[in-house]
Formats: sequence, C-alpha cells, structure tokens
Amino acid sequence: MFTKIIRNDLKNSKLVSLTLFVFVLFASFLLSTVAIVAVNLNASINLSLENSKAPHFLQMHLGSFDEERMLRFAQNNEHVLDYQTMPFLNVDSNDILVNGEPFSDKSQDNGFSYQSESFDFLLDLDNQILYPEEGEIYIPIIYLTNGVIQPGDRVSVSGQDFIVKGAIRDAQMSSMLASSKRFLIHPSDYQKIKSIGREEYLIEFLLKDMPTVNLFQGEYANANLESNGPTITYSIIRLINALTDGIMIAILFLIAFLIIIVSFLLIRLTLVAKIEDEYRTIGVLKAIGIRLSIINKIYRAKYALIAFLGSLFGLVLSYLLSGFFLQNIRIFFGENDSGTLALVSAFLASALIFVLVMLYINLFLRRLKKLSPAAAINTGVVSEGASSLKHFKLRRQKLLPAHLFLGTNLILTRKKTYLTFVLILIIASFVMILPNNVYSTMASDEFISYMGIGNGQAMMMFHGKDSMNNLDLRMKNDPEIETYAIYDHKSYEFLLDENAIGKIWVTLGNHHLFPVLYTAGHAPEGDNEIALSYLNAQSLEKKIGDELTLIIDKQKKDFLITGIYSDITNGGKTARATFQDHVTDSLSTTLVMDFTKETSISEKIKSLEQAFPNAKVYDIKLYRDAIYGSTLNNIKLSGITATILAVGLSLLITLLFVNMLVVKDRRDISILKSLGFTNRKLNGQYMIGSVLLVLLSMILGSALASTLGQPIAGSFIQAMGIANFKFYIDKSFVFLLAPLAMIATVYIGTRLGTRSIQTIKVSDYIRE
Amino acid sequence: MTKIIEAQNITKVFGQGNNQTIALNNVSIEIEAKEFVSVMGPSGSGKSTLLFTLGGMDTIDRGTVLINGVSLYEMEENKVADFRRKKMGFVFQNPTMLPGLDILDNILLPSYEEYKKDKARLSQNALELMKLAGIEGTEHRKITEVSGGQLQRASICRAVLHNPDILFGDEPTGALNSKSSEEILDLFEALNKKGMTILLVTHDAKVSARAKRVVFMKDGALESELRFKNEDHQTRLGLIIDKMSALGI
Repeated sequence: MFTKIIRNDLKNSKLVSLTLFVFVLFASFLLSTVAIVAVNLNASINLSLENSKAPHFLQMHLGSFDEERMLRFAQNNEHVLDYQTMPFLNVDSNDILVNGEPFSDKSQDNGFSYQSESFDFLLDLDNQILYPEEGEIYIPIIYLTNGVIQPGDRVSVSGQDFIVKGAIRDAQMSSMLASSKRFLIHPSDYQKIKSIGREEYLIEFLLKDMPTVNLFQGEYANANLESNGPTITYSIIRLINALTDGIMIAILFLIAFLIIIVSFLLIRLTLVAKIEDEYRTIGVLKAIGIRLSIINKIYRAKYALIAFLGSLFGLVLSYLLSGFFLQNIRIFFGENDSGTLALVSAFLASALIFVLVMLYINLFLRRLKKLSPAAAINTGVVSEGASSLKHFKLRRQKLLPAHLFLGTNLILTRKKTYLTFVLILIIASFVMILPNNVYSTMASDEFISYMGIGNGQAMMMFHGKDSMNNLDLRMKNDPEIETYAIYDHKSYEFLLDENAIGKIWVTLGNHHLFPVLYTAGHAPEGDNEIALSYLNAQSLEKKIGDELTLIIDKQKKDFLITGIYSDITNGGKTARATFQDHVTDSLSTTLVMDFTKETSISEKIKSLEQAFPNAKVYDIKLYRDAIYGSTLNNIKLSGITATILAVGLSLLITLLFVNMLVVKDRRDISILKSLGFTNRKLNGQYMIGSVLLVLLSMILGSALASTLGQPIAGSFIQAMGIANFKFYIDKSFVFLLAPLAMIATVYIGTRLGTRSIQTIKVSDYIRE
Repeated sequence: MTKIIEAQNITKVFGQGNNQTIALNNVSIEIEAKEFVSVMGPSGSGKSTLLFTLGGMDTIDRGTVLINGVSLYEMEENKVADFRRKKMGFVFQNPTMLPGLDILDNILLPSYEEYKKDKARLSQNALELMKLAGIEGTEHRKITEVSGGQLQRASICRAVLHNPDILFGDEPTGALNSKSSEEILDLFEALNKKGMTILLVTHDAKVSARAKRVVFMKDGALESELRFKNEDHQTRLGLIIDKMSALGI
C-alpha cells in the first residue's frame, strides 16, 4: 500500500519532490565532502609533518650567532631530543632571474637553503627527502601551482645558473600564509651565492615530548639566546598548513548547514500545504480509528524515500568528486592512507543528513496529534484559515484596490505559511550580502589600518642595520613627499613575572600620523605609554590601564598600556611606543608616506627604489593586494557564487511557493474569477505578497548580515590577528543592487508561479 | 421586449478522442430582459454547462453567445471579466465566500471600485439587501460564524449588489433545507419583480415553479419548454411534473 501511496504522491508533486531531493542531495554531498576533506587534510598534514620531521620549536634569527652557546643550551636542556641550525639566505626578488627575466612574484620573501641533516627536511612530491645536484634547484610548490616557474626553467642568482628540477614540500613555509619561501639548492651552490643575500638562521629543536613546547619556549626565552626574529612552534606550523583548506572546509560546512535549513523549511512548506489540503481526510482516518502512527507513516513515507535517495546519491557524488576538493591537499601534503576512515566518515555524514531530515519530519508530524477529527470533518478548514487583523477590512481602507487588499490579507491570514517563505528569503539575502560585506571591507582603503600598517600611499622598508643616514633629512627636503613617518622596529625584553623574561617587538615612532585601528584605547603619546597588538594583549593577558615593564639598555622601565590595536604583521604580536632609544639596534625600519597631489605614485616609487637600493618600496594598495590578493579574489568569487546561489534559490522557492498557493487557492481563485476579477488582477494578488515579503526579507537579511554576520566573519578573521572587525558596507550593493536582484527574482518567480491562474476555469472548481 | 441573451448553436465537448462527451449539442436559446427562466434536466443533461457558457465562465467549441447584443466569446479575456463583474451576478450551489473577509467585505468585494467612489450609497444598499435577505446583523461575522443558509443569502446579496442585468443561479438552493430554500426563492422572486432577469439551473421542480419559463434539457440538447402567465405555484408545479414525466426526465 505504501509503495502505491508514495508513487501517487511523487507523481502529483514532481517539482517539489525533485527540489527536495536536490537539496538533500547537496546537503549530503557537502557534508560528506567536508568529512572526506577534513579526514584527508588531517592525515596528509600529519604524514607530511612526520616525513619532513618538522621542528617542534623554531627561532628565526637575524644577526650574529653564538653557535657554541646554543649547542651547550641544547645539550643541557632536558626536553631537547635534537637540535640544528640551518642557514636561510634572504635574496631580494629583483636579484632572482627566471629565464633571464626578473622574478615576477614579489609578494613573498624568497630565500635559499640546502637540505637539513637530521630533521626539518624539504621533500619532493612523493614525500621523499631531496638532495639536489650542483646546478639544480627545487622551487617552492606554490610557484609550480601558480605557474610562475616551471620544471626545466633557468633560475639565475648572482650570475649562478640553476636548472629547475621540480618542486618541494616545505612543512614550514609552503603555505601562502607564511611570508617566506624556500628554494632548495646544493650546499656548495649555497656558498657561491651567499654574498648576494642576507643570511638568517633557523634555530630548530625537536623535543622529546611535544606538549612540553610551552615550557621549553619559556626556558629558551630565559636563557637569553638569539631571538631576533619570529618564534614558531609545531602547532603554529600545523595551523598555518591547515588554514587554507580549513577555510574551504568551513565554507562548505556553512553552505551545507544553510542547505539543510532550507531543506527543512521546504519540507515544512510542503507538509503544511499537504496536511491543510488533506485536513478532512486525516480527520476521517482518525475518526474511523486508524492509529496516528499509521497516518504518520503515510506522510513520512515519501520524505523517507526522498531523504534516503538524496543522502545516498549525495554520498556517491562526494566519493566521485572528492578528488577535486582533495587536489590542493594532495599537491601540498601528498597522499595518505586514511581511505577507510574517510569513507566511514563520509557515510556517517550522509547518514546524519538522513537522520536529521527524518527527525524533523517526525517532530513536525507531532502536530497531527492535536487534530480533532470532529473539527476536521465539520469544517475542513485549518484553524489558521480565517484569522486576519480585526480592523483590517476591505471597506475601511481606500489605499489598495480590492485585489491588492486581498493579496495583503492573504499574508495576514496565513502568517505561518508565509513565515517559512520569509525565512528562506532572509537566508538567501543573508547568503548574498555576507560575503560581499566581507569583500567590501577587505577591499576598502581603510582595511590596511586593520593590518597594523598606517593608511599611507607608500611604504619603504629597510632591514637590519642598513644605512639610513640622513633619512629624515632627505624625506623632509623631498618636495614630492607631503607627510611621512619613520617607524623603527626594535626587540626588547620584558618581564613576564618577577623571574621570567619574554621578548617583544616594539615599533617606535609617531603613531598619530598614520594611525592603525585601535580596537580599544588610543595610540601611545607620552614616553611611558605603550600600545599592544590584539594577539599580544591576549597572550599576555593585559588590558588598558595595566602596566608592562620593558628592559631598555639593561634598565627596567614601566609603561602604561593605552591602547590595543589590530595587527597582522610579524605574526600579529607587536607593540607600539613613542620613546627615544639610540642604544638598541633597529631590526628594521619602515617609512610610511603620502605624496603631494601632483605626484604619480608609481613613478615616485620607482625613483625611491633607485635612491634607496637597500630598501623595499611598496605602493600600500599593491602591498595589500599582494598579501590579500588571492584571498580577496576568493572572497569575491564566493560572493558572486553566493549571489548566484541566493538568486537561484529564491527563484526556485518563490516559484514552488506561489505555485503551491495557487493550487491551494484554486477554489478561491475561481470564486474571484466568477466575480469578474481578471487574470492580471489575480496575479497581482500574489505579486503584492511576494514583493512586500521580499522587501521585508531583504531588510532583515541585510540587517542580519551586517550584525550577526560581523562576528561570524570576524571570528575567522580574528585568528589572523584582526580584532574588532567592523564591516565597511558597499551601500550600492546592499541597498540597491542586491534588493533589485532579489525583487526581480521574486517577481519572475511569482510570474512563473501564477501562470497556472490562467488555466483555472470557474466551472471546474465551483460546480459541485 | 429586449433580448438580453441570444445563444446560437452552442456546442461544448469535454474530453478528447474516444473519451469525448458532448455536453452541449447545438443549443440555441434566447432570454428576454426581466424574464425569470429555469433550466431543468437530469444530472449530466448539460444544464450547468449551459449556465456557465452563457455566463462566460467556460469556453465553447462552436456557436455564439450575445449578452445585451455583445458577443461574449469574441471579447478579450479581461473584457469578459469586466463585463461579468458589471453586468452579471452569480449564485452557486455552495456558498462561494472568501475565508479571509467578513460577510460585509465579501458582499462588497465585486462592487469595491464603485464602493470607493460612493461609500455611503453602496453601504446603504448592501445593508438594505441584507435586510431583504434576512441576514441583517451578520455583517461583521466571519464566514465560519454563520449558517449555510445565511451564507447563501449573503452570496445572493453579493451577486446583486451592483444591480446586474442578469442573475445566474446554479442549483442555488441545492445545499439548503426547505425553509431556507423557500426564503431564498422568495428573494429571487422579489428581485425579479424589481426588474432583474434571472436564469436558474435546477433539478428541483419546486424551484422551477417560481419561474415564468421552464426550459427542459436532455443529453446536451433543449427538449421542450413551458411558459407561465398568472398560474399559482401549485399549478405550475403540477404542469412541470407532468412535462417531466412526458419527457422521461
């Protein structure tokens, strides 16, 4: 009997059944893909870190290095299993030639290295340790995937030619989020080009027990060893590697979640309509003593079949297409042996979708319990049917023509049915606006100040103790430079507590000229004031008004914390102060400047590059694009995809919803036709409802995207060190283009959905 | 007398191929203004189809229908709708009211454009009609708060509020008890006396006895008709029953 009921039911509601099937399929596909990708990502990263023997603790250091002292420390420290120091030769991108042309990708700090002896190995694409021959070079994998350098190309550095043999997996630096990239060459070649770059040390430790890394980090800091550079731990390496694909997993998960919600709403919409249609039948079934469980079964059967098939096909599809999503993971981290676990996880994810759909249907069908057979048989009208506003009477208003009044009245008498429609449209608006808000914020000029860089036109960076004689004077006398500020970056020790000492990067200079974004408080003004970056404030557990003690020229000095700001530079852990210190060496110096109106930015940058050959000069907008360019493009792409998805979803749902209403209202429509209402007016009756509701949904959706969306997007972005993320809203999109697109979509959906009004004949529904 | 309806050779076929049913077979009928006509026939004789086609609520396969000299099926769909709203009124077997409106809003619905222009007159007319129909005091009630008979009387009020040229009724008392039926038929007679043309479809001889002219249908065709002058209801009823027996209806 059930097979027959299901078959008839599916036949009578092909469009709704197919749509529901597609939604469940997508939800199941996305969730099982999330499971497959997450399991593979975890396994591949683990395997890659294992094969490369990534260090548990890494201290980058620029400057003089006492190797013996370090060796002694390593030997005497109880946690250390193995220790090594690897040189890393920073080479300016202008000094690297690819096939005779200057290297085009300048967004990364490129450097050269040779293979390690005992751990932190650079691996080939089969995860095997690579040992290049003389004259051979292996490139960072990112340059292979983005096509900047190909195997067989000729790379020249300082007159030394190398042939590109392939690419390397670098557990530490492969990710785009790590700003340095390592090229692998033979040790003797390294010696030949050593003079052209600036040598940095990677001081690396393998620990006996990984969880002791925090303890070890403290001991390293206390031992007053080389630490002129960022500190990286195993967990950060893991995080950086996982982040790119992790974000994809998060986005897929979010879309899957939204699709599940929309599927639920769709089930609700169709079940409500069906139960309303069959209200009297259900009453009769109850009256003749059919058990509720059997009645439920009848309504559940179709959805159980759709949910089962949707979940199953989604699972199969995720197996078939997972290769596409795993491409990046396979290239960057290699194959792994998690096949069975991935299969099982994907199966569980699909099963979860099926169970969720069934649970929702069961929950929904509980309302049949309350149905009184007597009421159902007598009236045949669901109680919601006739409750409009008490004073909303046709005769008491003059504003709307009768058909538009009826359309408005329909919304009021069917609040629950329309609520579902509104919820779907709100989700669609939310999905459309959120990524665009993120994009417009990150693409805005102001966003640079979230990154810990003042919003100037250009920026000049000097590393180490490069000659900067008369810099101030030269800038002051340059007629094309309108405003400028020089910032010195210095490393200071500070007191963690009475005994422990930490190191902190402090940027010294005038912080009012090119201010960064302060999430709390303000920039330091006095000599005894300091501002901390958001990540530093968090890790040091400091807030505004607290004190921080620095050790400057062997003297303790207390500083009052006046502000907390967003920063992504130097791993997000920095501080800002204004005091003068002529004793401590600068690690680097940054100069931020604005040019006069007449000055061409690009030409001025060229002339500054010539005037300061040791400096890196950036157009700040281009600098931001270099760091965020690909992320911005991805967000833009996801914004476009989300807009297309939202428009498609709204069109489909409006079409289904309005079509369902028309089918339900056939009798009322024929009454109105018999009273002389034209098809155009009857279409208008539904159109006014759709347009009013899409406007309401747009307002709520965009309000939600701007309020609730902000912390959602912010939580992702906060991980990078950007706190108090505030949307910069593209008004023309949010207030004009998006509403127009949604209104047009809903208009088209309603027009299509009301097409069947024309075919309704009075005689078919009134004659009884 | 003016001819208000002139239908010539109407043919209406339902279904296709072997499943075809001829509902109206070359039917021609003329109705004069102010006439009270009843169409009788057994189930499936085509009487309701005739009513719907004369009212412009169904399509026809052949023939012409003129209402007040205007050809109904040559008009554009929107014009037919306007024409119906202004010139015709309909009462169906079951009350056809919208659940979202109260009784008075339902009655005012087709006349709403006129109501906006002359609120006082239309309100007054609606209340007078409701009084005539015996449903005064129900104007603010929901359609679920009145009886079937009251709802049907409200349907008649709605059908005649705009003072149509012709009132169509498809078994208008079919769902009512005998007392309510009598009251409704009294109302029809009263409206006819005021000059409204009425065309009813029924299989109830008692209902037809209120009409001045009874048309008999069988198998989609007009078989015969009776015209009355001053006979009382009982006499008419006897004549109708005799005719029905003679026709085997």
